[in-house]
Amino acid sequence: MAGVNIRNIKKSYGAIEVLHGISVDIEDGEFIVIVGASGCGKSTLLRMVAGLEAITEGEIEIGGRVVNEVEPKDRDIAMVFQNYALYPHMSVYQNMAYGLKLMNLPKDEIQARVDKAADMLQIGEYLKRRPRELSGGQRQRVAMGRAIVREPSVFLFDEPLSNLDAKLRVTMRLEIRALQRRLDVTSLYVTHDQVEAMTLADRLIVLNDGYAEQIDTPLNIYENPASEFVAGFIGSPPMNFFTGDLSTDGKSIEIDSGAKIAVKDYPVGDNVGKPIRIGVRAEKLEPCSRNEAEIILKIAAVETLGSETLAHGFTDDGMAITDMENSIVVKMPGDARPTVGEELPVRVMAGGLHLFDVGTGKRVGG
Amino acid sequence: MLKRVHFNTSWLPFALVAPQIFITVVFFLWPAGQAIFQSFLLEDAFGLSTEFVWFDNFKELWADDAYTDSFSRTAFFSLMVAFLSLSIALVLAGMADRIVKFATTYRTLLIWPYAVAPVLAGALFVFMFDPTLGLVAYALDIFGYDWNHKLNGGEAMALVIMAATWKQISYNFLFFLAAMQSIPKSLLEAAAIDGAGPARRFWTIIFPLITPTTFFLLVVNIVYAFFDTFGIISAVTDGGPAGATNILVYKVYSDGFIGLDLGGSAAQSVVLMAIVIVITIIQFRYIEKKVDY
Repeated sequence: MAGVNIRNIKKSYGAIEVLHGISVDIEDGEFIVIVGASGCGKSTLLRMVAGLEAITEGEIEIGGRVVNEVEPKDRDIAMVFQNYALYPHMSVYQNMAYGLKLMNLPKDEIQARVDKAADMLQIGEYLKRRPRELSGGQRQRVAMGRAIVREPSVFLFDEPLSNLDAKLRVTMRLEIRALQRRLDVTSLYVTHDQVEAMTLADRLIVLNDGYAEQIDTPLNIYENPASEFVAGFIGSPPMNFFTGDLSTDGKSIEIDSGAKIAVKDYPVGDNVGKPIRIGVRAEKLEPCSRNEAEIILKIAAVETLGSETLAHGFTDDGMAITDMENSIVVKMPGDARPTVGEELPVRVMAGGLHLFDVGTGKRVGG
Repeated sequence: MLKRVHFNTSWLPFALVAPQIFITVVFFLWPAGQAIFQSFLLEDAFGLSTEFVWFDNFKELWADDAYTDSFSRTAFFSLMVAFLSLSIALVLAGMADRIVKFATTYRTLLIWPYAVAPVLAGALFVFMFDPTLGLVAYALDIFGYDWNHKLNGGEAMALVIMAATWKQISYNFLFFLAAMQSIPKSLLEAAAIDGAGPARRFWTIIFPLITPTTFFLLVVNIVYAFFDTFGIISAVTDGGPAGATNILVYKVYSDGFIGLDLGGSAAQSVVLMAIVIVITIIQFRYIEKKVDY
C-alpha cells in the first residue's frame, strides 16, 4: 500500500518536450485515471511511473521513496498492458507464476497466490491453457491476475480495455472498479475513452499536449471544466461552443448570428466588452417558445437513441452538412420528434453557462 | 480466401512456368537421373567400356573405411558449423536487438560476410592462417603455438570450420534479429516488471519465442554445411591433409573427377541426395507442426 507523488515531471525526446511538468499527489488506495487524446503523453507518464521510460526532469515517489533510478521490478508495481503482453509460450498458470518465481517465493506460496487470484477472477479452469486458447476477455483477466498475484502497492493500467468489444468493455470496466475497491490498491489508469475515465476514476487527470489541464473528481470536471479543451473532451455529446461579445454591462453576450444569451449571475470579471467563448452542454439547452428563445437553431440532423433524441442544428442557414462537428447539439427527451429543416428555438438553462477566455481557453470566473 | 485468377487461354500459364520447368529439368532432374543411372554402372578408367553392376557401387562404399570415416567427419563438421554459427549469430543478434545508437550500421556490417562467395571466404582464411605468410599464424607463433594446418589434420578441420562458420553467421544473424524484433516490446517490458533481468528475459522469453526460427536455421545450416561448403574445402585444404577435411561433398568431386571412379562417385552423390530429401521432409514436417504464437 502506498501513495504516489509525481513532482513536476518532464519528458523530452531529444529537443522535443512531450510532458511539460506534471505534478499530482495520489493518495493510498486512490483510483486515478489519466485521460487525453492520442499523443498527449498519457502513456508516457504511466510508463515513467512504471520505470519503462527514463525521467527527464522531476521526481516520482512511490510510498515515500523516490524511484527515479529504481528498476521497474523494484518499484513494487504491476502493470496491465493494452495488448495484455501475456507470455505466449507459457500456460496461464505459468504466466501468473513467472514473477513470483523470480521473487524466489516457495512453491506452495506461489500456488496459493495464483489460486486465490484465479478464484477472484474466475479463471481457475483455464490455468493450464495457453493464452492463444483464450478469448479477449479471458486474456484480459489473466493479465489482471498476473498483476494481482504480485500484491503490488500500485497498479498501472495502460488502456487495458481498448482491445475488447464495446459490450465486454462495459463489463470489464465494472469488474476492474470492483476489484480495485476490494483490493484497495492505488491505481493509475490510462485511457482515451472519456466514459471509462468518468466511471472509473476517483480523480481524473485530463492531459492535453503534455500539460495537465485539470486534476479533479469526474463530477467537478464535468460541472466546472477548467478550460475549453476539458469542456469539449469530457462529456458526450461534446459541449457546444459559440464565440460572442460580452456586452459592456456584463449582462448578456451577443453571438455571431445576432442572438443574445443572458449571462445572469455568472462572474465575468474584467471581460466586459470583450470577445468570449461560450460553452453549453447539450442537456443544458432547452427548447422553448420563440419569444423566450436565446438562440434559434435550424435543425440539420436528428439522432434518435430511444432514451434520448439529439438534434443537431446551426444558428444560420449557410452551414454545410460536412460541418457537422461544429453543429450545436440539443439533448431532447426520447419521445421528442424534431424534424430536419425545422427551426428550434432554445435557451440556456440556469447554471448551464460556461465561459472561456478566447485566447488562452481558460475558464472565466468560478 | 484467396481470389483465384483465371486465364482465358489455357496455354498462357504453361508458357509462364515453362522457363522455370526447363531450368529444373535441365539442371536438376536430368543430372539427378544421370547420377542415379551412373551409380549402377562400372566404368573402366579410360571410359571405353561400361558394365551394369546393380548395387555393387553402394556395397563397396559401405565397405570402404575412407567413406565411413568421411561420413562421421562430415557429421562432426556440419554439427560444429551449425552449432557455432547459430550460437555466435544468436549472441550478436541479441546484442544488436538491444542497441539503439548506430543500430543500422552494426546490422549492415554484420550482414556483409554473407555477400562473400564461399571460395573467397576460404581464400581469406588461407591467407590469414598460412603457416609461413599468415598474420594469424604469426600471431599464434608469438604465443608459442606452432600453427600448421597443412600438416595437422585437427588444425585443418578447425580452419575449415572457422571459415564455414564465419560465412554463415550473417545469414543466421539476419533471421535471428528479425525474429527477435517481431516479439512485442510489451512482453519484455512485462518481464522486466516481473523482475527478470536482461539475461533472464533472453532465456525465458526471447529464446523460447524464437524456437521456430532456430529450428528452421538449424536445418538450413546443416544443409549448408553438408553441401555448400565445397568451395571452402577446395580453397583451404583440398580435403587434406591426408583426407582430414575430406567431407562427403568434396569426396564426390575428388573420387569422381580426380580419382575417375565415376560409378562410385555417382553412388556417393545418390546417398547425399537421399540425405537432403530426408532433411527436407523433417523440416517440412516440423515447421508445419510448429505453432506460431
